[in-house]
Amino acid sequence: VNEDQDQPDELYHPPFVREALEWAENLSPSDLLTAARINDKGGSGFIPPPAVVRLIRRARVEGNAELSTRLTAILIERLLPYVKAMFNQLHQEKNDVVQETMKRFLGDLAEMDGIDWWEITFTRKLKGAAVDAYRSMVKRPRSRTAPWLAEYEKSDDGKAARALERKATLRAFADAHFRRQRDRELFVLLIEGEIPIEAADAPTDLVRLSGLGVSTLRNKKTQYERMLKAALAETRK
Amino acid sequence: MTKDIRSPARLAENYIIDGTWDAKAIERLDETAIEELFDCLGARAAVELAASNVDEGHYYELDDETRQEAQALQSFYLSEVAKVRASKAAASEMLIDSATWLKIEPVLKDRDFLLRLFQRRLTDFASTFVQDVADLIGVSRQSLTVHLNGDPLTLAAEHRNRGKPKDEGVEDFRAALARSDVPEVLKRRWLVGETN
Repeated sequence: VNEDQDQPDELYHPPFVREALEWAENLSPSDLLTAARINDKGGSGFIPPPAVVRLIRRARVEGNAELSTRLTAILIERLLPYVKAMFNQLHQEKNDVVQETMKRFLGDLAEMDGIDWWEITFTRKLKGAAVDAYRSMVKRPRSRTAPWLAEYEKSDDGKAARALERKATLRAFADAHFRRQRDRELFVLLIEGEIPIEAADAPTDLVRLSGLGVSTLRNKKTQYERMLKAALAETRK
Repeated sequence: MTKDIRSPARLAENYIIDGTWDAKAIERLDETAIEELFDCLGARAAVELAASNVDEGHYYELDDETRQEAQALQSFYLSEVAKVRASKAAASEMLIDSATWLKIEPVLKDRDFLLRLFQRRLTDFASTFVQDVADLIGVSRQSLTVHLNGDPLTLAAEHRNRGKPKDEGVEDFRAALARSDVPEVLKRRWLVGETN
């Protein structure tokens, strides 16, 4: 991805967007539409989505509604299959999560004429919209009764245990310094236990999502539980 | 615009993507917000993991069903645009409101310079500058040009209180930009550009 992983703190186009816009400025509307249809990221003439967003808004405020609308149609056709494929991985084939994600983007696209994060960190923002849609539409069973707290459950209604668990988990997060994003994702998913490690009958599992073997994932889970236990011991002090 | 920098959603996003854990901000969250933080961490991790298996640059052939969905989304977008348009002021009106200009202060970082633009006290603008500011504010190039080239605004009392430039005269755009606090990267871009 061309997109910088760091969240910039300024609402201003990054160089790869600026360059694409400068290039697109000299195209006729029909050449621009042809270029916008190039889907191959490495292909010559490819216009990255954040630049397409700016071109849509520019055409709209310039009163060129037809160009703006046609560019939007092309962008929707580029994004929709991507968002669908992403939710398919989570086995959320229910179309409403996909629709909701797209509508969050299109609502912002329609409402804002000036520069916003869709023109700066588009992919990150799109995944953020997917997270919001996923959270609001997919009810996920929460099973955060970690076995390492069983001894505390008996003392009261589990209230103290929960508070302690929460504190210890936050501490474990603060202590866990994973360099790779993938490790941070697995850390969260393995300790929250929302997606099973391996369950052939379940819609999805971590083996399929991460491409890692069962034993690797089980080892990681053991390692993470040790980290949680250590954090719990510290918290109890 | 974007979520509050200390919202549970942003804190979760920053941990998963950048590996930063803002312990101080998290300590200040109440019980409900902590639940939300865990929820967001799980959702963000799942979505990122799922997305990493999908090639963003891959070309997908659209099937009929997807094509129809795309058309429905297009209609949704157009109805949103119509709704927004009905409630939005004309560009010329927006530009004679100092609030419009002050909104881009976080980018230009110089209030005095922005107020000079708002009051039409600068002349001979660089072409890239006009396009960039039109993009930032979200108006057409033409409306911005008309605004900038109009007669200097006489200020109503309410605007005088919002801060006024240190002098009343009309100044060359490049000279004002050169001595402004506008970030260097923008100065460089606008000082070399052709005149509009």
